[in-house]
Amino acid sequence: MDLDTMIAEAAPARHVFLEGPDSPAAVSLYRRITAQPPAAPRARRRRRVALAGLTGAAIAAASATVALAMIPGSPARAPGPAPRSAATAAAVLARAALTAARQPAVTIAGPGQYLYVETIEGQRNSGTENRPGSSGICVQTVQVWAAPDGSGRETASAPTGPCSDGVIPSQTFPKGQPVDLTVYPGAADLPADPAALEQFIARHFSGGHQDAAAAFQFGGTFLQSGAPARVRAALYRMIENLPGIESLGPMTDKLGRHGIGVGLTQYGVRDVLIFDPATSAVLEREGIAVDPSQIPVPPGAPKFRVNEVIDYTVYQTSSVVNSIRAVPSAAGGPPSRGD
Amino acid sequence: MPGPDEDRDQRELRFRRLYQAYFRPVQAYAVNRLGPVDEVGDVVAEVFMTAWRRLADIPPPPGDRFWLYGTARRVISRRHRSASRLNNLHHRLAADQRQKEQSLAWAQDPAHERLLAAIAQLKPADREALLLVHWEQLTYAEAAETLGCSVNALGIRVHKAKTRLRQVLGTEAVVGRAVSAVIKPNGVSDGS
Repeated sequence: MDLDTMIAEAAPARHVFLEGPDSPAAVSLYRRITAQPPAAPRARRRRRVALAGLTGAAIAAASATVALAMIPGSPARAPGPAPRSAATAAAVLARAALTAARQPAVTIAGPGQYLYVETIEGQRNSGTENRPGSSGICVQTVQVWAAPDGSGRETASAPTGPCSDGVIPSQTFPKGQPVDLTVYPGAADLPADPAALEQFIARHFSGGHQDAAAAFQFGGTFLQSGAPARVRAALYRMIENLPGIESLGPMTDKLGRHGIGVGLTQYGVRDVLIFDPATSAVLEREGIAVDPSQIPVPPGAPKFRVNEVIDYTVYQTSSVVNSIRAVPSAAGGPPSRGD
Repeated sequence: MPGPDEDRDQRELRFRRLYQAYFRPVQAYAVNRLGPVDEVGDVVAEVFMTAWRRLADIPPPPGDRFWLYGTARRVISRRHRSASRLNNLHHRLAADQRQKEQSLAWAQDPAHERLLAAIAQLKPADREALLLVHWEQLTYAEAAETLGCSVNALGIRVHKAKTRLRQVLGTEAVVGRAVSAVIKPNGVSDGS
């Protein structure tokens, strides 16, 4: 027997019974899936952004490169102050849009270049009902290199804190495939109109239906993905117009940076976006459980507690680099590791 | 312009076709990466749940199959660190044998055991390339599309994987373990 045949014969799936799509279990699963609304349910893990419809060849870089010290395993912090009025949120976001529009032109990534984004990612480890003590925040520093065509690479540091639910892996991304990133590689080509942006998000990321939580989530992703000033201004105006948007007032992110918080609550989770009012740069995003009864958890895992932080992303560094392994000199992350 | 109900019908029709065509292949992919464990069902469910949510992003055939494999790969790697997971495959299969001797009789074959152990020791990128070609039966071009690399790069990965397998299995022969019936150090089969 030659090696090729031996390898093929060793495939575990060749030696076990596989259910067909018409089996009772498969039919039951099908019904459960298609009973879901077409709108994309909330992803309570890392933000996933696909490269659907990307046609341009350029990515702009975020204007500032900020290197800051890493933080230790972050415990849940107290939620922000009580929400203020929607009118206040509108005023805060209108000012942010003006600030964004006034920012200097950003660098556009060309062929062979990558948008480098470094974040600190925290995800609550659910623990189990028998071992609730294993609950806590699993923290990793993540470096992403995203090419204009959507290909790229991400490396994740060794996790700190309880991480039994699984950690963010280091991996590469093929061109045009769905990307598991906190950046959107096509941000340079996004429309510079708030309504068009909301439609773009609905068309590509929420099953064709407008959804305020999805618009808020993806708007936050686009803001830190190297979009030009006019697109960033439009993103803030889009967020300003979302129903249910609220001002959370002055807030401090997990690196101690001061900013302004806005939030949107849907499906039992308040998504919070903290930005720097002086530059309009996003500092941090996080999800907070406000109605745990609405938030699904894995089988056997305990429900979230009210005001518990579910996950967060702290933006540290954003810049254009010339290779898939280059790190801006000011970046503070760990040495890159190939995979 | 189609109304919401018509949109929904078209969407479900497309999803049903995907589900019918690829339920088994996705399940096989998960079994091949994780072994025949209960978790396979969770992976399959997550892959198709993602497909339902992201139907508009899925390319037409044959790219839809590669999209599903790519999604399954990410689902599995997110749930577990893939390398350590597959490194344990051989041991978990051995443990399962005790409970499912009949269904896993193949894994009791020492040659299979050694080969699975050797596959688990490959570099992840080389291993995935090898398995897509030999276990998922993709062509080099299809596997390259799934992994987002060139066909040349894919070929190199598969070649490196096979070379490494021959080295590992050959080394075992040198140290006196009975693998001569599997593969000889120079990669030439013994005709068994």
